[in-house]
Parts: sequence; C-alpha cells; structure tokens
Amino acid sequence: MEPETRVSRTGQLVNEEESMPVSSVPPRVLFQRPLKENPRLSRPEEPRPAEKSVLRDLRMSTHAKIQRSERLFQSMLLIGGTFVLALFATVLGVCLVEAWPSIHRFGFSFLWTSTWNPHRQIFGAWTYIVGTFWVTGIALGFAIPIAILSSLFLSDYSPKWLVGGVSTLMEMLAGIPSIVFGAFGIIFVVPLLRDHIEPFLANTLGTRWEFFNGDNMGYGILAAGLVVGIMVIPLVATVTRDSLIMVPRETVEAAYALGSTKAETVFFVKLPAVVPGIIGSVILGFGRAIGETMAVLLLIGNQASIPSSIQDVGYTISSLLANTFTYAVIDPLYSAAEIELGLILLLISLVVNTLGRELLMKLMGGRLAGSVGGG
Amino acid sequence: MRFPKRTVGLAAALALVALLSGVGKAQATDITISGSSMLFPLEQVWATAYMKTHPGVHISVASTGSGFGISNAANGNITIGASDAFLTAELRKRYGSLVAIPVAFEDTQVIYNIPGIKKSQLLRMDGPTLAGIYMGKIKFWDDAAIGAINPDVTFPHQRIKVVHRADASGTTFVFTDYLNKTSKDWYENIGRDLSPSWPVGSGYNGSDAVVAAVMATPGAIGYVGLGWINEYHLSSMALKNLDGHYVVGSVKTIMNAGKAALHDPTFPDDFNQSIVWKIHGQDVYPDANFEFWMVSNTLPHATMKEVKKLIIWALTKGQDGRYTNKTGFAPLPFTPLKPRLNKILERLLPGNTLSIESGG
Repeated sequence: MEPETRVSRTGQLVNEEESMPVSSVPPRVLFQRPLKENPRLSRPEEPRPAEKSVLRDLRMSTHAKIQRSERLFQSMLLIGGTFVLALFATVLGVCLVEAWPSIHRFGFSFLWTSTWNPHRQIFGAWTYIVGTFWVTGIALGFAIPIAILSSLFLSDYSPKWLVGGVSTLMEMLAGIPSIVFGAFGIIFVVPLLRDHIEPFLANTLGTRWEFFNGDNMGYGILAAGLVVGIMVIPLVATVTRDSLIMVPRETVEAAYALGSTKAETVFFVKLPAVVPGIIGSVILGFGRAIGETMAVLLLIGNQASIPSSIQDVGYTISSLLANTFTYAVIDPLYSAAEIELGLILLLISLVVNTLGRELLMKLMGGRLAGSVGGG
Repeated sequence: MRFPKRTVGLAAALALVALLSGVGKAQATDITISGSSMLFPLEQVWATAYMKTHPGVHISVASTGSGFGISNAANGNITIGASDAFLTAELRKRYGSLVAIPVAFEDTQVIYNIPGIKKSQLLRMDGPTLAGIYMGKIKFWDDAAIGAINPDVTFPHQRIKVVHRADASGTTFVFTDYLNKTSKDWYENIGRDLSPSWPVGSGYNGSDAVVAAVMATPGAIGYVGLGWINEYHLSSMALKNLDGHYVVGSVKTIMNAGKAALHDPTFPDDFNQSIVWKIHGQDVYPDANFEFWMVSNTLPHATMKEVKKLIIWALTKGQDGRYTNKTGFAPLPFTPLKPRLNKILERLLPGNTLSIESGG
C-alpha cells in the first residue's frame, strides 16, 4: 500500500508513513519537504514534477473536478432513493394487475363473503380477515400487559444486576426466527393447551360461556395467538423500557416531593408519560403479528371457518397464502383472489400504521413520531 | 480510465475461466423435477442412483406440491412436474402440451387415534360414513353409523377430531376422489380437489404434520400415503371396495388395483383416469392411485432425449424394490404397461428409437 495523506479525526492533515501531523511542522518546511506519494489528490496520468507538495496537489484538484464528484454522489443517492420508490410501485402494480380478475369479478363483496371454494370459483376473504384479527388480537392482548409489566419492573424495581441480563435476553428473543417459535409452539404450547389449559377453561368459564368451550385440540387460534404474542413481547417491552428511562428525573422527583409512594409515582406519573411510546411499540407489534406466517401456519389448524370459541381452529391470510399459493397459480381467478388477499393485508397494515402515526403525532405534539411509528 | 496491464491480464484470465466453465456446464444436462410431496422420497433415491450411473446428467428434486408441478412443467420452468393427480379434462384443456407418465403406485389410507382401541384391532370404514365424518355430520366415535360397520368394536364416547391437509396435495386429491365416488353428499357439496374447502377439522402442512397431529391428538382421524404408514408403523382403517370387501392398503392390495386397471382394455392409454372405486376384486384397495411425471412435449430436443432416457430408466431399473418398496411405493407391473408406455413415449419424442424393452 502506498502511504496516504488523510485528515485525521482531530482534523489535522497526517501523512501516514511518517505519522506526524502535517500542521505541526512549520509551514516553511511543508513547502520544502517533498512528500513521496499522494494518491488521492494527485493525477497519475500527468507526468509528475520532480518536486511535489501538498499545496500544489490541492491546486491541481480544480473546482470542476470537485463539482463532478459532487454530482456523481448526488446522482447515486438519487438512484438509491428512486429505486426504493420504484420497487414499491412495482410490487403494488404487479399485485394489482394480477389481482384484477378477482377485484373485477367480486368487487367489494370479496371482503364480506365468507365462502372460499376454488372448485366453484367463489372467493371471499371474510373468514381469513376474521382469523387474522383473532390471532393478532390474542397476541396483542397477551403481549401488551406482560411487556408493560416487565418493562416497569426492569426500569424501577429490578435489582441492578438483573437489568442487563434481562434486557439482553429480551433483545435476543426478538431475533429468534419465527419458525423456531412455531416449533416451540408445537412441542410445548400445543400439548400444554390440549392437556391442561383448554380442559380447565372448558370446565370453569366454559360451563357459563360457550365461548370458552371447545374440542381441546391444542392447535387453534389460542395457540397461534399466544406464540405470536411471545414474539411481540420483546418489541413492546424494549421500546417501553427505553421510553421509561427517558422520563425526566425532575418529574419523578416532583412526584416524590409531593408525597407519593413509589408505586404511585410509577403508576400515575411514569406510566402516563410513556403512553405514546407504548402506542408506537404496539403498532410495531401489530405489524409483526398480522403478517406472521410460519409460526401461525404451524399452530392455527388451517381451517377456513370463523372461530366461535377461543379453542377453535382458524385460518389467517398469510398462512393461507403460504399453504396454497403454489397451487393457486393453476387457476388465474384463484391466484388473483389470493393476491387480492395479500393486498388486503398490505392495506390493513398501512391503515394501522398511518392511524398509529397520527395518534402519536397528536399525543406527542409532533415530537418523536417518526422514530417510533412504522413497522 | 486507464487500467494497469496486470488488471487487464487478470480480467482476461477470469473471462477465459468463466467461458470454459460455461462450456463445461453446457455439456451436462440439468433436469429439474418438482411437485408432489408424496413422490418426493422416491424421486430422491432415483436421482441419487441415476446420477451415479449417468455422469453428465444433473438432477435436482424439490417437493413443492402437485399443483406447482403441473403448472410449472407446462410453462417450462421445470423439466419434469411430479403429480399424484392425473390430468383431468379441464387440466388437459389448459395444459395441452403435457404428457402424463405413470411412474409408481401409491394410495391414501385413513389413520386414527382412538383412546382404548388396540392397534391390532381392525377398523372398517366405508365412503358415506367417512364423508359424514369429514363433513362434520358424524361427531362422535360411538356414532351408530360407525358402529354398524364395526359390530365387534366398542368405541368410546369421544369427539372425532378431523385432520386434513392444508396445502394443495395429491394425497388429498386421491382421498377426496374416494369420498366423491362413494358419497352423494360429498359429491354435491365439496367435490374432488387437491385443496377442497373443508367444512370441518383442522389442516396441517404436509403429510408429516398430519401424522404428528393425529398421533398427538386423542380422537383424531387423518389420511396419508402408504409410505408414511410404513415409516411410522401406523395402523390404518380397512376401506370398503367396489365389491363390498373391506381392504387394508398395502403394497400387494394397491398393486392388485393397478394391475387390474392396466389389464383393462377400456382403461385409456394416456392413463388420464382415476382408478379409485373402479376396480372389482376381493383383495383390491379402493383408494390407490398412479403417481405421475408430467412432461411438456415442447421441451428442446436435446433435453427431451435425456428426459426420456431418465423416464425409461425410472420405469425399468427404477422400479426395483430397493427404490420403490423401501420408500413406500408399489412397483408398476411391467408386462401390461409396456405397450402403453411406449405409446406415451412416442408422443413425447416422435420417431425416436428409444423404447422400453425389458423390465427391472
């Protein structure tokens, strides 16, 4: 490698080979002392003068040259930016075109028709939309309280030595691939539900409400919802904990000064202060839960019927696509209906994200909204 | 920009290497087989054995479902599409270029998990009752309809938990084919399909998941192919055949069904007909099927030649028990098959002299 003259972190020109800040030498010496090589600033095409100096090299890189590189950089950024835009437009466009036969044929009734019969060419999304919301609902209903409790514990009550470990584990939990959670669901959650929790539910709550009664299969919306919930917990918990740490010390101290107990401070002062953060993280969790495919597919029981009980099996949009899309390509209308389902999924998460963002903007007065929304 | 001479030389060398390896690749034939998950285990052992004896041919096998196999063989994405289902009239109309070649026998059997019933106990099942269970009309194992065909068995009062495939599957096609032909109710409301709209039950992706769910769930009923029964030592129900005999699926009983079809002169030469609920006889399993390879006759000539060689190998040496029986298939009976197969192969590659001469 050739020695390189570069600007060091402190802003001084440094010649690496001599590792002496150029500016530390008196200027006179700088003019006289020949530098051996200077690849960045010199132009190798031209015959080099026998004697060189930094200043001469600087003069050589003309204004036009700087402008050229600026423009090059700018156009590269432009390509990057428009590529993302074009990508989204292409995905949306292709999906719309491919889904058109179904959109054209069924119109809006596609949304509330609950028959899905490829054999008779009748397609309706209702069962799958309901199933998707059941799983997402159970997941969020399970995840949010646990996540909030755990983040409150970590920020205020936990002994110091536990905080680091638990937060690290939490972040690792968020990184586990969903298929692993699916397998965990099959070997642990399903038998647990089948042999213990579901019979218990049926014998207690189920005697009064049919909603808790059922077949105790183990597989079903409950199993899928719980496992997706486990995946959502770290998302909600980490964001909530981060916002809890950000609550100003003055606020907390003021609450103590007014005579509130620790529990009162945490519950009435700190928790309300982080509501926007919680909402943002719930939106993130919603995005994860609604699109979750593999874990749900393994656990939900893949039966196109509208659940009437918490123990019932169901079907979500994403697991239907994963199960049958390779077959659906045989029939244009069938595949169009499945792609339309995908578009619906896209639309739902877009709407929820936008609404969540708006809500955040309102609650936080426009601060931070961009940093916690999306997902 | 000016490149140093060394870089130019290096680039030239790289280009030469790329060119050479490209040429090297062009000489080897790539055959991709994709589709039916039922046939997949057999295709795997075939591919390994065939590549060992035929250097220069590279076969890649994938299990993607029969539906994928059919459509992608037709549009040329893959060389051979594997399917458990024959080409129905509708499919033949849509994919006119496809030729179906039977490569092995399989079947679909009903498995169960009933607490209190011993594994050695023979359970009988007929079409209407099975359709009733799969339509949610028969809800408990001690239902009168089940008891009537199993007078010697005492069933527990246990809910029947219906298990079916969630993905588009040839196993499902063969299973619903049986229900379709034996139950009017099923025929009118649901029909025969790779992925029908199931009225009740819960669906699982793949035969392995079905086996797992049935084994884990007390009261469950499900269906899988013979290969899975052998692999997991499951006991399956005896199904009622056309002559009223209750027959358990095995290599022997499904071969009986296939043989009878092949000896039947009215059976079409292109095999595009189901043999479910068609074959008379005492020891004939009613829910057997051919496994097919779908090949498009629009393949390039050079590839077609290699494909045909592979097909002929699969139909002769490939039928050996160490490939077929070991993976849960029954070998094709050779003698009645030969003239029909030669006719099919003629459709694929007209005027070619390659033809099947001898078996195994």
